[in-house]
Amino acid sequence: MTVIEFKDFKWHYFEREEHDLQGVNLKIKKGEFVGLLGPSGSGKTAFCYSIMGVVPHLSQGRVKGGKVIIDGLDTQDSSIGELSSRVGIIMQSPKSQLTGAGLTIEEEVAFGLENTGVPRSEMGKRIKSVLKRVGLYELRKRSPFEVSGGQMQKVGIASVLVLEPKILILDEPTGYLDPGGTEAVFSLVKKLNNQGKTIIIVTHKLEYLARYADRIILFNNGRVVRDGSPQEILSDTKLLKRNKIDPLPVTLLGEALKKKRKWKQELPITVKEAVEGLRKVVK
Amino acid sequence: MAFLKTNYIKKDSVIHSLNPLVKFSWVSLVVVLFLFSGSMTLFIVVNIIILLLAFLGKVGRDFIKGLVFMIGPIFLFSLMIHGLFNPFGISEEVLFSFYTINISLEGFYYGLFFGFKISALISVFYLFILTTYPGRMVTSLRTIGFPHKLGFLVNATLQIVPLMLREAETIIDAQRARGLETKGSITKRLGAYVPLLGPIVLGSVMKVYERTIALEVRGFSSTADKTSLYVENITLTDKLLIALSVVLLIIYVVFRVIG
Ligand SMILES: Nc1ncnc2c1ncn2[C@@H]1O[C@H](COP(=O)(O)OP(=O)(O)O)[C@@H](O)[C@H]1O
Ligand SMILES: [Mg+2]
Repeated sequence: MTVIEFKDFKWHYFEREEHDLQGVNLKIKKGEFVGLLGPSGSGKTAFCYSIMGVVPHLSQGRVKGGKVIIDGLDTQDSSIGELSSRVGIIMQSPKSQLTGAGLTIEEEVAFGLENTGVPRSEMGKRIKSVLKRVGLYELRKRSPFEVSGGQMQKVGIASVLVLEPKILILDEPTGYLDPGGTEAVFSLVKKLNNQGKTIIIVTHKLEYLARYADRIILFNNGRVVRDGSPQEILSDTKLLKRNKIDPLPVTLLGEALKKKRKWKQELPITVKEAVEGLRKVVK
Repeated sequence: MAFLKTNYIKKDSVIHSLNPLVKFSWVSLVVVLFLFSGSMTLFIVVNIIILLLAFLGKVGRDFIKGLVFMIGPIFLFSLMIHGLFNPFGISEEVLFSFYTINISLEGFYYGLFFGFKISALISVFYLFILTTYPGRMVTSLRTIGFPHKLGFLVNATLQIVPLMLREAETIIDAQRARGLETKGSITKRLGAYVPLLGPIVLGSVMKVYERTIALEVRGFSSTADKTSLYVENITLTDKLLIALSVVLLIIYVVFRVIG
């Protein structure tokens, strides 16, 4: 079932010469885990905002053609509020996603429910279940501003998740996090994906995409340059370098060995594949 | 600046447990006095009552610290301006002279009056903020028909202020580590803080966009009837106290009109 559909969508920020999304065409199915790659300024954030309805409703610019359909809703005809029951977005800075509406994590999570008129009787249940899912239930009475970056990002995820969206967008969610926080966020996202959420994640951490993503979409200059499996895209070192992305060290290792004609199979994208390949080389 | 409390202090006290609307009625009462009263005695009494309430609310120490920090400079300034120049004065009576400087009695009195007046207003707001749990405040404001966006604004502002102070501290520490001079003479110190404005203001502006998105994606503009995590029940005591504020207000108005 298709939940996201871009039909030749063109978006133009005011004050810019070129269009920022230059005719994007793609479909994303329910339950997919999609990684977005691309150099900085290539339109990844604009793409994410287009799913959430921030483009065109909040951003300063104009739609130059095409449309975006989210779970049956045309984003140009629907408010962000309406879309928020279908899509949730998490951004880079953990702190700026906190609304400051609550003194405690619990209250911060409740904010969306209060706004959308969820009855009080149901609130408690939903908050409890979502906080358990992201592993913050024990911290619910703490201030959301006084936890680690990784935990703060989980507060953001919980606050969005509590509205029960089918689609979760994460725009460089681990940019400000240490390795522990990064691991925690990715494994939570994978768990949510296993429970049926559609995931769109922008990240430069290729090793996580190699492990978790079903599909990778490569952006440049506001266009989809390539759309394929992680294996297909991450092992194409030329493609990555051409688009200013550093390939994974394991892949480069494979490539170096391939040049010496010692590596026969596909280039590795995970440590496991590299180890298996090296065994064959050594033999 | 961590010593200065600018938001809710969790304590188990009578004042804390009052319905926020009671404290809101006190605020309204003092605002009316502030706007219409010219009696210094009245403002001194109000100040004393609020101070007593702050101690009853177990936040007396923080209350005094914060108040001195906020109104100390106002008092000094007010005494100086009025004492020296006596802008509203008619009498020329001098309280004391110092070389060529004359402090006029009337101006001095007016300076004191102005100080107590401001202090009453700030005190009542400060007491409200220190003893009222923000979530409860928003809920109860909503019950009397306050627009929820306004409630949020008040609430978020109260929470953002300490956050910004903390952020400023982080930046100051970082700058100090790079050799910024934040000690020494007043002018030197003030000068040193100027470069900090950049990062703080810019940082805040940049976060506004992301925060707007965060608010919107959580249905902030949704037209649904809002609900609340908390229920505010209003006890008999609360009702009596609110009635008391109303009665005091009426008495005041009657006296003003007759007297
Ligand atoms: N609010 C804005 N106004 C004008 N131009 C913008 C705005 N936001 C982003 N852009 C520009 O649009 C292009 C795409 O940006 P973005 O989607 O943020 O890229 P990415 O997320 O891939 O780094 C960039 O060239 C960027 O400078
Ligand atoms: Mg971006």
